[in-house]
Parts: sequence; C-alpha cells; structure tokens
Amino acid sequence: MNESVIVFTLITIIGVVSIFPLTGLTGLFSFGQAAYMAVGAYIAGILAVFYQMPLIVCGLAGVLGCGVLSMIVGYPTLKLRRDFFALMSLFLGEAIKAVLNASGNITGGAQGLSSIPKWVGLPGVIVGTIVVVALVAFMKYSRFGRMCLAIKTDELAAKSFGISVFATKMKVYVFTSMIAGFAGVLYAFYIQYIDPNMFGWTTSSSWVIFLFFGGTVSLTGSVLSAAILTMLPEMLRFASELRTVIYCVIIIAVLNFRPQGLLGDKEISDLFKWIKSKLAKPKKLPDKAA
Amino acid sequence: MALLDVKNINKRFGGVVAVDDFSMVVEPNEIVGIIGPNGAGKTTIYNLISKVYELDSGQVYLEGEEISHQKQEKVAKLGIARTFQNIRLFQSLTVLDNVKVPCDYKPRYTFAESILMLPRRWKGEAETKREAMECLELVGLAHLCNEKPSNLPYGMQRRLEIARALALKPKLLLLDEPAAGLNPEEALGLVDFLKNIMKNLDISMILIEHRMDVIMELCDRIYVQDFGKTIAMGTPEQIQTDACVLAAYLGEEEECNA
Amino acid sequence: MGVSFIIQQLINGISKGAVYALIAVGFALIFSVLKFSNFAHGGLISISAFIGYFFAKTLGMGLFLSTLFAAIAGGIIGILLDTIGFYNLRKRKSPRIFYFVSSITCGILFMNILTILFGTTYYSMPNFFENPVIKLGTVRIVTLDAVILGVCIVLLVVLMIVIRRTKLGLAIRTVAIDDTTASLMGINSNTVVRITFFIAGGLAGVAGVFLASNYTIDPFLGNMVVKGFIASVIGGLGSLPGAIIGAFLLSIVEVALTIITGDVIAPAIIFVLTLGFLLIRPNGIAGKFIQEKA
Repeated sequence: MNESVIVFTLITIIGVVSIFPLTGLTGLFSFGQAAYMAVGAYIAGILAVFYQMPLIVCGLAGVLGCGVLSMIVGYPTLKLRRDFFALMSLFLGEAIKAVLNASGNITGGAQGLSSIPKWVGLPGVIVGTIVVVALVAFMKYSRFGRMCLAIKTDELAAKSFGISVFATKMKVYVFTSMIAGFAGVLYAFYIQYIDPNMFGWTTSSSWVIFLFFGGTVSLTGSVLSAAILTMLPEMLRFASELRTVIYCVIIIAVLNFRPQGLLGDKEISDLFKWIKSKLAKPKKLPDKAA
Repeated sequence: MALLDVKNINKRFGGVVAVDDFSMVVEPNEIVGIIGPNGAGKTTIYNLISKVYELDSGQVYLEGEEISHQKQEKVAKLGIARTFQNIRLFQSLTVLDNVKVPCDYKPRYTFAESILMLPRRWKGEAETKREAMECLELVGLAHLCNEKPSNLPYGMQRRLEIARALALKPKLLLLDEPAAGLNPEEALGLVDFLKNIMKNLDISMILIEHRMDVIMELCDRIYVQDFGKTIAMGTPEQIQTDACVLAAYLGEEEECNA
Repeated sequence: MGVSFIIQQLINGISKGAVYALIAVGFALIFSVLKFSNFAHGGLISISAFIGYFFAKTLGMGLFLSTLFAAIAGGIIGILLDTIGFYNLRKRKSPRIFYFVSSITCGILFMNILTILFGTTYYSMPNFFENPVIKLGTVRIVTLDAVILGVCIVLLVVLMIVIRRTKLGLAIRTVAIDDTTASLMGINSNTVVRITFFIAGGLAGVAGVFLASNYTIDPFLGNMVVKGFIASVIGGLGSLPGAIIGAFLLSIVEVALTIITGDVIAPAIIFVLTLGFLLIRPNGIAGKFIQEKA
C-alpha cells in the first residue's frame, strides 16, 4: 500500500475527528468545515512559499488564522437555527472558494499554489493524528462534552440548567475549525500543491457521511469509518464518481436501517471494559433449589 | 424577605390569556402548591419564572433581586431549578452524566485545561462526580449510574429528573407534576422523599400537581388557578373547605361535606 | 446604459425569477409538509433535465410535450425519492436533522449516477422556436424566456388554486400543520406526503427542462436548488407565496450583481447578504415564529 494513501486516510481521519465535536456531540451539521482546512493550508502555504517562514510559524499561523476566522463567522451564524446554520456553512465553503479563486495574485487562484516545501512526512502525520484524536477524546469526557451532548439532545433543558448555549457552541466551533486548519497545514506540506477545488462542499459532506456511518457519538466509530471508507475505495481503485455513489448508498442504508451508525455510541474503552468484565468473573453455575 | 416574589405577571398567546395578573410569594423553606384544571396556565407560570417565556408585564424577584428580564441560564445559575411535565432527560447521556450536567456551567476548569488533561480538570471532574453521586444517592439511583435513562422505568426517570434538579443546588425547586404516572405506593414514597428534602436542605419548592393526596400532604399553602386567574389561595385546610364551591375543579376526589 | 438594456436585463431577471420560483415553490412545499429542507430537489431537477432532453432531442417532441413528460417523470421519481430517503425516517420518527442529511445524500447520489451514465459531455436542448427572438421596439426578448415566464405563472396560479381551494390542498395543509391529528381525522398522511412529493417532483421536472433550455445540460444543473432555498428563506420557509416573492427578489439582485461586480466573487457576496438577511429577519418575509414550549 502506497504511503500517500495512508497519509490521505490519516488526514481524512483528522478531518472527520474535527467535525466530531461540532456535529456528533453538539448536533450542528456543517457542510463547510473543509473551508477551514483550505484556510489553514493556504495561510501556511503562502507564508512558506512567498515569505520563507519556518514550519512552526506557518503551522501556527494557519491554525490560529482558522481560529480567528471561525470566531468572526461563528458569531452570527451560530445564532441561527440549525438548518440555517448548516446551509450557511455550505455557503461559507463556497464563499471561501470564491475568494481564493479571485485573489489570484496572492493565492495562485484557480491554478493553485505550488512548490510548497515538503516538511511533513508520514511520521509527522501519524503523530498529528494521534494528538488530535486524543484531544478530542479528552474533550468528550470533560464537562464540555457533556454540555454539548445536552445541547444536542435538548437545548431548552440545557439552558434551564445554567448552560450558556451560545458560548459553548462558539467554543466548540472555534476548536473544531482549528483542528480542520491543522489538517490543512499537514496536507499542504505533504502534498506540496493545493488548489481551491480540493476543499469544497463534497469534501465537507464526505466527512459528515463518515461521521454518520461510524456512529455520530462514537469517536472510535468515526475514526474507523473514515479509515475504512477512504482506504477501501483506494485499494479497490474505484473511480471517484462510483466511490461517491457508494458512499451515498451506504449513508442511505444507514439512515434507513441503522440510524445510530455502525458503533452507535460505543467507544473502544467500552470494548476494554467488556473484556475486563468477562475475564474477571468466572461463570457460576446456577444453584439448584434443593 | 420572601425568597420568591411574583408581582402581577401576565402572558398572552395571541387571543388566549394564559396567565392573568398572577401574584405569588414563596418564603424560605416553604412548599407552595399550584393546582387547577388542565390549561389553567400552571406550567406557563413556571415558564415565566424560569424565563423560558418573556413576561408581557409584571415583575419577578428572587431574594429581592429583580429577575424579570434575565435569561434562562442566568436564572438557573441564580438558584431556580425545575423538572418538566414531559420528562426531558438527556437521553444521550448516562444517568450519572445527566446529574453531572447541572454542575458543568461552573468554570471549574477551562476548555484548554480539559483537552490537555491538566490537574484542575481532574480536580474539577472529581468534585462534579462527588456532587452528582450525592444527588443520586438521595433519590436511591446511585447503583444505576451507568445506565441510559431510557432503560429506566418511568418512576425512576421521574426521580432522576429530581436528582438532576437538585444537583443545581437550587434555592427554589419548581416541580411540574412529579407524581404523574406513579402508583399510590410510589406517590407516598415521593411525599416522604420531598418531606425529607425540606428537612435536610435549605430549599423551597413550588409544586404543580393534580394528585390531591400529594398536594394536601406536602404544601404549606396552595394557589388555585383557573383560566389563568387565581381563584383561591390558602392553607390546605382552607382550600379543602372551599372545595364545595370548587367541586367542579377538584373533581370527585374531595367530598363536599358542608 | 440605455433604457432598453435595463429593460432587457429586467426581463431576463424576471424570467430567471420565474424558474427560481418554480424551484422555490417545490422546495417550500416539501418544507411546509415535512418541515425540512429537501436538497434532493436538486437531484430531481437534474434528472428531469436529462429526461426532458431525451424527449426533446431523441423523440423530437416539442417544448410543451417534453416538459409534460419530464414533469410526470419528475413526479414519479419524487415518490421514489420519498421511499428510499424519507419513508423509514418517518416510520421511526427520526430527528429532523436526519431528513436533511438524507436529502443532501440523495441529491448527491442522483447527480453522481447521472455523471456515471452520461459522463461530462455537454448536451444542449434543441431550438424549440422558429423565431428565437421577439422584437418590441428596441427591446429584444428571447422567445424562450417569454414562454417560460408565461408557463411558470400559469403553473403557480394553478398550484395556489389547488392548495387553497381543493380538498387535496386542504389535506396537504392539514398534514403540514399536524400530521398526527390529521391522521386521526381520517387523512392518510402517508398518501398525502407521497402526493406532495409527486407535485414537488413535477415542479422540479418543469424547472429542469426550463433550466436546461437556458443553460447546457449537465448532471450538476440541480445545484440551482440552492437558489430555490435562498428564495424560500427570504420569503419565509414554508410559505408558498413567500417563496415566489423571494425568487423574484433574488433573481433581480443577481442580475444587478452580475452587472456591477461580475461572476467570480458573487458567491462571497451572496453569502454575506444572505447571512445579514437571516440575522435581521430570520423568519423571512412571510414566515411565522414558533415558540418552543416547555
């Protein structure tokens, strides 16, 4: 198996994990998160190519730039109702694509940005993925994870227990955008060429699809499904339209027959607990009443 | 000073007057009941106090501070907790997590600390868990802490809702038909439980109920609502004597022995 | 800029608006009955465009007949869409956001199937009229635009009459308000939903053929559904008259923008404008605000 397939899969995992807190935990569907990946990639790439900044500066700028943008965009859009938010996220993606295409002199426009130095290799991406998954897992089990799930289930009830819904949504949105930006930075420095079309709504939608397939509330499920659904088509060499059709059919099947996704809300820690419980207690024979 | 002072609040929805010039006082350590036929505006009163709805007019004071135009989450932080008529538990969270949620608004640790697993996070989580388990033990559900609420029988879900409300450490607890759907034995258990809470905690309660056995046992005073208006207010004995006049509202539960 | 140029652009805008109105109404219809934004509508539009092309080019039928058959086909596919995309969700009472995800997925599915079947060759509709342009003084009106405008108006009027004045319309409005109660009143809400999808599909069919006549036919023509969505939102989600007004407003703004700023940056401007609009008036022009009860 090709190294670039593995790297691409890992970066997709980071992307799916980036929307996990936003969509899986808080229930805010966004079809434009890949736009933040674009922002991170372009900021980092431009700084490296035109200003010869070192990796650390480019990477930090990319991620923080996403943070700032998400604060500006999040402030008005998070006040909208959920389907409007979803829609505006789609438009955001297209708007950013339009801006990137139109600012040809800075970004290379539709021709894209090339000759980005290769500063990231397989080990870097592996470490990045592990770090991101860990951060998101830690978030899930903290008070923020609980508040997000409460908001997703019942916003009104959440408010009646003191939760500041808007503030929580903002924190999650900024967090997830920065992770997507990080994915973009890694991608730019690995593949060395980026163009606006790579980060459109189809990429964002596929992340949502992977999330759903694995089980919206299961981080393990998201990671597994992103891995399987990215690697399998590569290995079987499907053309990209056929691959998309298969993704769609999978999602429709999941929604119709197993809406909780592959793993529902189970995590890998549940597997360990289950194994532990089976090992701890030897089976007792029932007492026969005398 | 009264704990809760509701002055002349009004709410209409289109042409329907849900709450008509309602006033109420709740003293510290008191249980006040609100009864009346369905549609009398009782839950709307809760929604106005807890700020789910905006007041059309009137004021609400909590411990002397005006809360008439505060946001819902602010009022919760100031110490008003509630349960809901149709149980609104967080179904995606475990029983224990449900009771942890009311502790979560407190900034025991920041977002950054949570994802980096810094010490304040561990301390904060431990404290939250301790407080949540205490509330679960109070209602006798501690052994089910890792279950999903949907797996619990109805009576236990109602108890869980109360545990969750108590986890907010409220000064005032609004209970919306807590005995609905309970059999007589469970209802008695609820009465004892609430009496215990009143004894052990520094708290006041407002109770909306249709079960007369529960209301008369527990409440220090009762407001009787109909079509948004208060038609009577007094101690259980006073209301019961009024029962002859209100026989139509109280139904056949109370015999008119005048 | 001459007056005739402006008038021409206005007519162009209004004709576009009429098609947007068709899309918006189909979209709003589903929203009012099922309470979600049906993005699969775009897929229906694309499919109908190809079907219309088949009837027009291959079978050589005129505009009217092609549109009619495309509409019927659209309606049938609309019902098919409901079966694979939403029927089970209704049965399970899934949360509303699932319908939205399902609709986007079905939309992408349809458009990608079309891509696989027809590749990326450009097809275009044959010329339907002997006189492609009508001249009124100095103003030149494209015949197609005029016909489209006329047909759309007729269709919309007929639709409003059906919704407001017939028993079927009443059934649809009832299910839209509360489908449980409607069922208790003896209305088979599932049948009503299916019929609604048929009507919406039919509207998509007509819109597909008209769009195809104005642009080239490609599988992603259906992305025009976004215009229908914006129009619905401006007009107030779920309100049919609102959708129509929103559609015309949108098309006029678009025409103005194209003259002033050009195409490339347009998506960004539309984003900012829509966002502003949603913040100031989230319920649109005619929408209603529903307070959540505790």
